[in-house]
Amino acid sequence: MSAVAEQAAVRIEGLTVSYRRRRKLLRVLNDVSFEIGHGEAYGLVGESGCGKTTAAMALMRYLPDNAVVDGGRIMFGDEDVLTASDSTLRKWRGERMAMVYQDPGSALNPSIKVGEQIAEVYRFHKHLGKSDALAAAIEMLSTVQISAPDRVARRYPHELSGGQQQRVMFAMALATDPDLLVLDEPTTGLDATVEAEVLDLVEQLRAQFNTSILFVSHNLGIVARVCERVGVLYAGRLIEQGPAHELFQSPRHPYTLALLRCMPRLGMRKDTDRLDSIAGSLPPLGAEIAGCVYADRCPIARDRCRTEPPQIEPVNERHGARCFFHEEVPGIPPQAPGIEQVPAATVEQEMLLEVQELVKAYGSGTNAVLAVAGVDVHVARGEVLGLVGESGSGKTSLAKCIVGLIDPTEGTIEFEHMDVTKGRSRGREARRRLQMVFQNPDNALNPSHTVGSILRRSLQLLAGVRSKGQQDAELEALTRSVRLEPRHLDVRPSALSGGLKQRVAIARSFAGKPSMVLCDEPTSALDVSVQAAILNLLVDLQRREGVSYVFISHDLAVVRYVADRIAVMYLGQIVDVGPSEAVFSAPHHPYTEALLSAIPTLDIDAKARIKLRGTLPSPSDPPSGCRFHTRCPRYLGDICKTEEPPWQDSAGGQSYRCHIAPDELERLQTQDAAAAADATGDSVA
Amino acid sequence: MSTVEQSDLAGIPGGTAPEDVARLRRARRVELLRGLLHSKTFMIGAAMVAVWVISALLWRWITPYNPQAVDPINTLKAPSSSHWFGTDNLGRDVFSRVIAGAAPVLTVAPLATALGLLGGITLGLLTGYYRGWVDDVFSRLVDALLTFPLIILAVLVLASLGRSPRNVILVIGIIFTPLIARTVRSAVLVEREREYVAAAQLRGERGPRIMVFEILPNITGPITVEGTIRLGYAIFAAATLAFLGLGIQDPSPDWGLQVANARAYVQIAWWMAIFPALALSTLVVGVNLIADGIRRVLEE
Amino acid sequence: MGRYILKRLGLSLITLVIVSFTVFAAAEVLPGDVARTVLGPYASQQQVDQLNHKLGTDQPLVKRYLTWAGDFIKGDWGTSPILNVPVRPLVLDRLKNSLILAGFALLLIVPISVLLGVLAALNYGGAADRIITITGLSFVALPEFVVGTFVIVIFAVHLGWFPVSSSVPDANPVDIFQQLLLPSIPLMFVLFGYISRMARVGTVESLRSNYTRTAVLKGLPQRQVVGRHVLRNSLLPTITVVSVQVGYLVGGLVVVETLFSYPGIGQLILNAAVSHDLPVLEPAVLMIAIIYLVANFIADVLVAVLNPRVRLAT
Repeated sequence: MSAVAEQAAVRIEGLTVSYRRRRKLLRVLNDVSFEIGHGEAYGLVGESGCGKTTAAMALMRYLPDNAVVDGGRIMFGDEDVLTASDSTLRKWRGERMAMVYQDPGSALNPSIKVGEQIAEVYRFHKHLGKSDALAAAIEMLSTVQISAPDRVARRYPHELSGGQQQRVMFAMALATDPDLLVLDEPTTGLDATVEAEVLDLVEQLRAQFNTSILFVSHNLGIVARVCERVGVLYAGRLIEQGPAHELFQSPRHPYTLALLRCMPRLGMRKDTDRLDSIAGSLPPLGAEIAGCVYADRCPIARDRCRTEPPQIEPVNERHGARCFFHEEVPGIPPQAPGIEQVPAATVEQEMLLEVQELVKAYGSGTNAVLAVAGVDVHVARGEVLGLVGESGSGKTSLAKCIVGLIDPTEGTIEFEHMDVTKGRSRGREARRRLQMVFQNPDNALNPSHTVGSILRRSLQLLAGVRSKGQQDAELEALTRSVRLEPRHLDVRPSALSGGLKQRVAIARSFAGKPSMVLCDEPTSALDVSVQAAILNLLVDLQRREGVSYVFISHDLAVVRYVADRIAVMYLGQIVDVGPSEAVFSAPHHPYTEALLSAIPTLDIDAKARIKLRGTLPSPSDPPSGCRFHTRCPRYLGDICKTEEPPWQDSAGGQSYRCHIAPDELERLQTQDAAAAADATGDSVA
Repeated sequence: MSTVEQSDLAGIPGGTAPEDVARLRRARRVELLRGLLHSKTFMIGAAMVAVWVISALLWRWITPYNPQAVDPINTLKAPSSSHWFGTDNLGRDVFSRVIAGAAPVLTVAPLATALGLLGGITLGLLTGYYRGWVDDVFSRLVDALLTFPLIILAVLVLASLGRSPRNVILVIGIIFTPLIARTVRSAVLVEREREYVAAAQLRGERGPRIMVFEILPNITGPITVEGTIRLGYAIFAAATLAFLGLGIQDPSPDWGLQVANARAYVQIAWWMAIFPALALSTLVVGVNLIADGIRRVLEE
Repeated sequence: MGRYILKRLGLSLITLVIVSFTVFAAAEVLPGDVARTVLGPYASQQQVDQLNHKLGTDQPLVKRYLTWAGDFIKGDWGTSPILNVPVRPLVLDRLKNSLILAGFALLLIVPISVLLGVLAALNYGGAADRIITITGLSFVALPEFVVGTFVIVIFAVHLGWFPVSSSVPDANPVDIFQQLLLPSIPLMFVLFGYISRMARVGTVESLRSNYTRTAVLKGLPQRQVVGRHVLRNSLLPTITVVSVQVGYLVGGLVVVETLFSYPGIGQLILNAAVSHDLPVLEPAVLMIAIIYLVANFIADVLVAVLNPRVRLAT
């Protein structure tokens, strides 16, 4: 792609924004400056609370009522967006600048047909008549690769899948071929394969339209894939900016470096590598900071950093970092002390959990939906089983059955040689030994109890510790084991950050010395830097206590990092299961293959994307034969439609459900990967 | 709430610095109180209600005349310096009767609301937490109940049970029960999906304990708002029933009853009707302003 | 869609059965002896029993209910033992009078309430919003007899513009306003409170929604954003609220008709209840329930027609 053009399409200069909250002004963006060239994609990354969404909204001048722009200009061509007249702004919006954001389901008007919603843009900006506008809208729908566009145009938003809805949003945004497209987390909340489709679409549209893009995301991998240049926001300040590859390969701000080291990269394993985490926490909103905003957490901070705010120091003509000592950044050693040298608990080799023929149906009769449709799972003592699947795969229902929150419709669950199929009739022993860590720490802790009383209650009920003195001792040990401090015990959860809350939730599940803990997306609500600390904690605990985990996650890099074995679910069934490395390398189930190829990574050697056809079928009416046949890129023919595929065992202890034999599948998959590598190599060269 | 603000501000772990922690613990309650004190709506409402609460408690000592003392010579006298609000058809001092009239309504309405809250919270917790067929039947019954206007229902029952303040309390309280239960139930339905409830189940807590100790403390906000709004309705209903002759009986001073008696004299003695009506207006508006103030502060 | 309507109709019928049984049971089982009331305290127990037998009040409850329900459907509503007139024409005539009064109030106040509610939302947090909200909040709290007393004293007694008590108007518009305006004001106060609040809340919610943001960022003019995108979604809940208010209205009518001596069904119900005139009371209350259910049914169907998410879910 081209370098920055002579004159930028958009130039943001010294943008400073505050929010008024309870009669106080809290600064969210502080002197942010960057520009986006014609046809360039600029990525703005940062963790929650860094101000990235505010920046995107300021660009459209659509800030909430309590926002105050304290200073700065947003030059769009020769005019300032912030001072433009309302009528100018109205003309620009939709015609010269457009936006696509998170959660397309709520961004479309529920009571207007999508075709009409797109046609509106043509009618108001291009002054087309009703039928011409609708025709143009249908044309645009096919540009964003919606099949049967004329039919989709007559649908209401709720009749479309998430991926289709987001395509409609893109069609609407690009209808007038705008100069600037603002994308605010456009794939967050979508499943991995859908996310990959949307990103493909963005790339293809970029080739087709010469639009400048501001891409706001918390996901570094996505930004690396889409953008040429990247800016990193921290506490309302732009702390580093530069060409995407250069910035991600050799960051020059300590924060960027730390953020990158927090991410589990493919190939990292809990046994050999430890994730870096960032000490301390983000400064509170509106804090007056004399020096560098990152000084409190920075490993190379000196006195100067605390008294004098650094300017952006040029690294080279296109790369700059807001750090006095940016030259030292490449030399910062990893902050993680390496794998903890605690003696791993010795573990007997035996089966801990055995799930057989498990079925969970919701509803009954013809309306019945099989969320879990016959699943066998076993987990050995001390083993971590990763459970992977997209929404609707049944992984959460399976997890709830295992911990006993819901009862399965059919099948048996055996845990430590106890029959625990019926959740409600579980004894205390079974409950104590099998606990759960939930996805959302905000929800998982009762907001009206203190941390201390939450943990005490668990000690009382699970560990059976009754005497006050003994409780105090156990509580202290428990608190220390998750690296919380005693002062945290007296507060209610709302006073804690997400990471600390999750530590409390983990402590609670470990109160009764469990032998198995079910972790349901334990880090997906957390920022990357916090995620790393929680994963490290979970890994340490597992090693020290010798517990087993069933670890559910949509993030394959995370699962690969923590899991010993992985099971992949699709539409209520397990389609692929085996040791992690075996599942991650060919041959594997075509669905696993597609999932793997969908992950956006920071690694430059982009892989070929396996595209899935169609949309996820409804679990109430699953396809016949192989459940994946409607979308399978390696679809053989009628056999897939009519016959349920057998389990195939490949080398390395892995099994998958497919009609294609391991040797053949391996040949197909390695061959395609090689061809793809060639193709991307060509395009880069 | 604006989405921009939410997405940008929600995840900020502000205030997690250790020294802040103890302060934050008390902060929420103090902040709510401060919010209420700063709310003009709430303060005006509270002042209006306070006047009548004081009247209801102290009328024996502050009324210039005995509110029940008949004076056949001074009937239907217009407001003057000796009778500020005039006299009624039996020569009773309207001002004294208005002051004393705060007592019955401020006895009946709060007791009826308390009864409704007690029943409504219990029923709401049970149906919301256990769901199932009990919940289905309950919902159907509430739908059916709602087809009757509250006043008609009260009229039906009071006409059969007999007219007395006790029966008014019972009727309003019982009619309120399913209505309050509906609000509580919908709050419980939201809370029970939160994972802390699942966590409590996983550590082996029993249902009643989860309802009372885990869920109830987290729905006090909506219950407070509902209770205040219901108190307003209870005053409305109690006064209306008294007006219709189904509550307290003459000669006790009661605003609704006074207005009903005044109806026949409205063309010659407007003051008999206007002053108790005004008194009632300020009380119900005051209670509603309080409810709105609380709702706003809780929503902030 | 058809299935939705059928299902909705079925639910209404079930509710109607529950309601009619409850009305019947409540009126008949609760203490209060019809024959004793008719015959007075000095009649002998034997005379009372005889009359009870004649009226059928000594039969088992369910059997009596079935007989009564059957008669009701056939249109055979009996005679009032207290007023000594046939019940059906009495109830229907009074119902008609009440519908005239209620319809007048609704027609006048619904558009005003919706308009002001939307206006308040568009000025969210501004002076107009505060004034409309506080007014609505205060109006809704005022019992009908209080407002009624005020308007009688001011407009009928002091200004003499309207009669102190109202009768059923003839078709001429001056007379309609003359007779109905005062008694409908107390009803309108309460209705205004509910409906304007709902319209405001719905509009505020819709204004803050992501789809409104999409519409604004498309560059549509404010009028288009509000007209096409906001109101379409925000006024749907208001339809339901208006239909639920039909139930309230009847309760309000009891008070207003008593205060203004207007010959409507509310007054009839009150008198029938106080005098234990069950043959009048039961069909009158049941008619109210039927009207309420019909109003709700129409509202639900209307919402379903206007809301594609309901319309297309079969």
